[in-house]
Amino acid sequence: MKITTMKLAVGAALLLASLPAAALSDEIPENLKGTGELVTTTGGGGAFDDARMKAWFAPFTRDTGIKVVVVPATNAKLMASVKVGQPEADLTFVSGGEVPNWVDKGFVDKIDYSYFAKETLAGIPKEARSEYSFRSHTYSVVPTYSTIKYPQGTKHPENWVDIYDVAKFPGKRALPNCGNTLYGGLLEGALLGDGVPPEKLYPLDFDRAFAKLKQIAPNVGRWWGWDEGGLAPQSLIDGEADMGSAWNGRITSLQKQGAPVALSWDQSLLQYDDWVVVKGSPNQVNAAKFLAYIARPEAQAAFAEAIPYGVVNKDAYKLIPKELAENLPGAPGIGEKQITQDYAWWSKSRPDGKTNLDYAIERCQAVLAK
Amino acid sequence: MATLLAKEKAADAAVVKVARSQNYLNGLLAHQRIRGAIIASPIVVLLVGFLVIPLLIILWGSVEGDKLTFSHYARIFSDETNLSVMLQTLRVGLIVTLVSLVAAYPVAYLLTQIKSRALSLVTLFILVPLFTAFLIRTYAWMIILGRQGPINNTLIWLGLIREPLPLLNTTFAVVIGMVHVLMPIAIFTMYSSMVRIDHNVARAAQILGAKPVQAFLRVYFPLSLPGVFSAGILIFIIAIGFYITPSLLGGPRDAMITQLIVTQLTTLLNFELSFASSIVLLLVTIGILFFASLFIPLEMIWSSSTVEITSQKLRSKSPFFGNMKQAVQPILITAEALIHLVTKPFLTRKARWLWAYTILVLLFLIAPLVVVFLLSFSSSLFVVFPPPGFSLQWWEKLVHASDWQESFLFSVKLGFFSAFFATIIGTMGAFWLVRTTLPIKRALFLFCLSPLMVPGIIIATALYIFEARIHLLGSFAGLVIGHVLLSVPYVVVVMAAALRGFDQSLEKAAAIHGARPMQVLRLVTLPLLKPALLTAGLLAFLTSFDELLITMFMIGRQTLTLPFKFWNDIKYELNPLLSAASTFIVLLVAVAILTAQWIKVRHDRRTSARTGK
Repeated sequence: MKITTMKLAVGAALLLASLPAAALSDEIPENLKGTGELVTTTGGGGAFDDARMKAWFAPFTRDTGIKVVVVPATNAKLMASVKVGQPEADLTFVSGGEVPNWVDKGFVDKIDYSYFAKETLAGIPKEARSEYSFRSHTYSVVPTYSTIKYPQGTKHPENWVDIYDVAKFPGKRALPNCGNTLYGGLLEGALLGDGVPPEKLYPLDFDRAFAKLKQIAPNVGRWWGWDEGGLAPQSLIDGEADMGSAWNGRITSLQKQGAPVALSWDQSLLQYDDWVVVKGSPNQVNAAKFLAYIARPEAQAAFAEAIPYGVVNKDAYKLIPKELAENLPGAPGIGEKQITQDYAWWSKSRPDGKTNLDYAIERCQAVLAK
Repeated sequence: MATLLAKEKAADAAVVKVARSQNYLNGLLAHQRIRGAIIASPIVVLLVGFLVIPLLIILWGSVEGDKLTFSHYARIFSDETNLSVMLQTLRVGLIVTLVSLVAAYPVAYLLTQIKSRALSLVTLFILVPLFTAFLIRTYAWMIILGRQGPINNTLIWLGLIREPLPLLNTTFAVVIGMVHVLMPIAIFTMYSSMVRIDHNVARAAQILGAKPVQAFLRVYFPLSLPGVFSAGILIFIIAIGFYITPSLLGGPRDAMITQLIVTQLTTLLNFELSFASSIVLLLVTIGILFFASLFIPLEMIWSSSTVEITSQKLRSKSPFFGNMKQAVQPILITAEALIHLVTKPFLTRKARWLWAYTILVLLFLIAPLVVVFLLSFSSSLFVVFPPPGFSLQWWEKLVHASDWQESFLFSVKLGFFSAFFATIIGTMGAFWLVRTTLPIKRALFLFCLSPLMVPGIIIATALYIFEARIHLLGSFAGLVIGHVLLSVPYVVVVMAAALRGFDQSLEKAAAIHGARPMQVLRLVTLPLLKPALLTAGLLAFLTSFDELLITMFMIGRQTLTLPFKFWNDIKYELNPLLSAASTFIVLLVAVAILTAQWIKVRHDRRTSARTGK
C-alpha cells in the first residue's frame, strides 16, 4: 500500500471535487477524538457560517465525536460574559487587529499546540501560530455594486474613489457601521475614497476620514455590522443600496446563487481573522483538538472550496483547484491591487491610553449620531 | 405475606402522614396572618430577589460601590453624544405617544359603541397583531419601507415620485414601527376606561341643545381624559425603553438610550457607565410615573378594572384639568364652531366615517402580516416584494428546518414553564392583594406591577449581572426566572380582576358545610376561577413567547428561542424562510386568541345561565 504524496494529493483533490467536505476519517489522528461539546460564536450567518459548518464543524463532529454548538454571541457580548465570569463560548475568531486587545485585557488562554500533527505544523507559517492566537482565514473587504443598476458592460464603480464619488455614481451606499470599523475597513475606505494614496494610508488621518464619512452619510442606505455581513449584499439585492463595501466571500457565494451582485478587487483590503481560546471556558481541550483538526490541509482546502477565503496551511494549496486559488484574497494578480490592513497600527495605544481602534469606534458613533 | 403486611403498614403510614400534613396545613391556613404570609411569599421573594436586589446592585455599581463617585453620571450629562441620544429618546417617545393616542382614540370610541359580535371581530383584528412577535412586525416594516418596498413602488408607479424615498433607517421608520406596536395597547387601555362612560350623558347634552361637536368636546371628551392620559403615560414609558425597533429600523442618528446601555455594557465594556445610564433611564421613568400619579391612580394605567381595589374615587375632575379648561375656554369655543362647520355633513351619517377610519387603522395593523404572508410563498431566493411568482419552497424548507423546529420547541417549553410558575405565583399574589386587610394595599399592588414599570433592557442587564454572580447565568432556570418576572404582573392584573368579581359567600358556605380551607380552594374557588386562570396562563405564555431582551442576555449556551432566532436571521440573512416561519406563528397566535375568546364566551354563557342575568 505505497502511494506517493502526489497520488494522494490528486486523489484528495478528486475526492474534494466530488465531496467538498469529505475528509478521510481513517487518517484522523486518534488523539483528536473526544466527547462533549465545543461552543463557538457565529460568523454572522449566511455564506460564511454555511462554509464553516460544511468544511469544519460538521466533519469535525463526524470524525471526532465532539459536538460543535454555534451561539449567536457577538465578540462584544462575549467579552462582557468573560468579564462577568461566565463565558458564552469556548472559542471565537477576532480580527488580527483585535488580538492584542484581547490578550491585554486577559480574555484569552494560551493555545495548546500539543494536539497538532508535526506535518500539519510544518505547513503553517510561524506568524500564523502564536502563543494566544491561531490564524483562521484571510479575507477582503471589497468595493461591490449591484448588477441591476450597473449591468455587464456599463461603467460601474471600481474602487473606493468611485464608491465615495456621489456625482459620478449617484445612488445609495452600503457601508460598515461604527462597530464594524476594523473588519469593514470603514476608515481606510473613506480615506482611499478621498484620494489618499495607498502608501500614505497609515497612520490614518482621523479628521480627514470622519469628514469624508460625514459627507457620504446622507447617501448611505444601509450601515452593516460585524455580525451582519449578509446585509451588505442583501441591501444590493433588495435595492436599499446600489453599491458599497462587502466581504468578498459573501459576494462570490451569492453570485453563484444567481444574485445580481459583483465585486472589484481594486483598492480592496487584505485582512485576516484569528482564532482565540476564551479565558476560563470549560471546553479548552476540545478547542485545541478542533484547531488541530482544521489546520490539516484537507480541512483547509475544503473551507476555501466552500467560500473563497484564503487559508493558512501552505500545503492546502496543493489540494485547491488552480482556478479557485487564483481568485482568493492575496493571490497573484489580485494581491497587487490590494492594501494590507495595518493591524499593528490599529492596536497601538494613544496618549490617553485608548487604542486607535477604541478611539475610532467612539468617535465614529459621536460623528454619525449627530 | 410479610411483605404484604409491610406494604399495608406503609400505606397506612402514608395516609396518616398525608392527613397529618393536611391537618397541619389547614391549621396554618386558619390563621389569617400566617395564611397571608404563606400566600404572599412567592411573589415577594421573586420581586425582591430578582428585581429589587439586581437593581440595587446596578445602583451600587453605578457609583462604584463605596467610592460613591458620581463621575459616570457626570459623563452622561457632559458628553454630547450621550445627551443627544437622551433627547432623541424623549423626542421619539413623545412623537410616538401623541401619534398613537390620536390615531387610537376614534377606534376606542367606536369600540364602545358597537355590539358584541362586531366588537369581537374588531378586537380580533387588533389582538392578532398585538400578540404577533415584535420581531416579525419589525421585519415586515423593513420590507414595506424598503427602497423597493410596496410604498415606494406604488408611489413611483403612480408617478408621484421619480426616485425612491429614503424611508428605512430614518426616524420616520422608527416611529411607524413603534406606533404599530403601541397603538393596539393604546386602543385597549383607552377602551377599557371609555367603556364605562355612559353615552347617554352626551346624548342628553344634545337634547338640551348642544351641537354634536359640543356634546363630544364638553361632555364626553373630558370624561374620557383620564383614560387617554393613562394610555399616554403607559405608551411613553414603554416607548423610551424600546430597543429592537430603533436598532433595526433606525439609522445611526436614531440611536436610543437602550442601545447606548447595551453598547456601553458590551462594545465599550464600561459596566459602570452602562449602569449609570440605566439608572438615569429608570429615574426618568419613575419621574413620569410620579407625575402621572398626581392626576390618576397609577394602577389605572395597567388595568382600569383594578381601580376599585382602592376605595378611592376616580379623580377625573382634578384641579389640573379644571384649570386647563378655564384657560382654553375661548379657544375651545372657536374651535368647536369651526369643527362643527366642517364635520356637519359627516356626522349626520351614523358613524360611517368612524367605521371607515377604523377599517383604515385595522389595515395599518394587519398590513405587515399580509406582506409577510405573501412573501412566504415567494418563488425568489431573496427577499423581493412583490414576489415574482408562487412557490411552496419556503414552507417545504420550514418543514425540514431542524434549527427552526428546535427553536420553536424550546420556546414552547420555556413559555410553558414560565406560564406555569407565573400563574401560580401571580394567582397567589392576587389572592393576597384582594383579600388582605393591610392598609398599604395600593402600594403592594403597584409593587406587584413593578416589572412593567422598569424598562426591559434594565431588567435584562441587571439580571445578567446578578445571575452571573449567583451562577445562574445561561441556565434554563435563570431564563425561566426572567420570563416569570415579566409575566407575573399580567397574571396579577387578570386574577385580581376575577377575584374582585368573585362571590366570597360561596366559600363561606362551603366552609360552613365542613370543607377545610384546602378543600374549599380545590372544590369551589379554583373551578370558578378556571377561565381567568386560563386567560392569565395564556397571557403569561405569550409574554414569554415574544420576549427577546432578557433572553438575549440570559440565553448563554442554550438553544435559541424563536424571537432570538428571528433576531439573528433578520440581522444575518434576510430570506423568505423567515416569512414562512412568521406566518406559521401568526396563525398559531390567532388560534390561541380565538380559543381564549371561545372559553370566555362559553364561561359567560354558563354562569349567566346559572345566575339568570
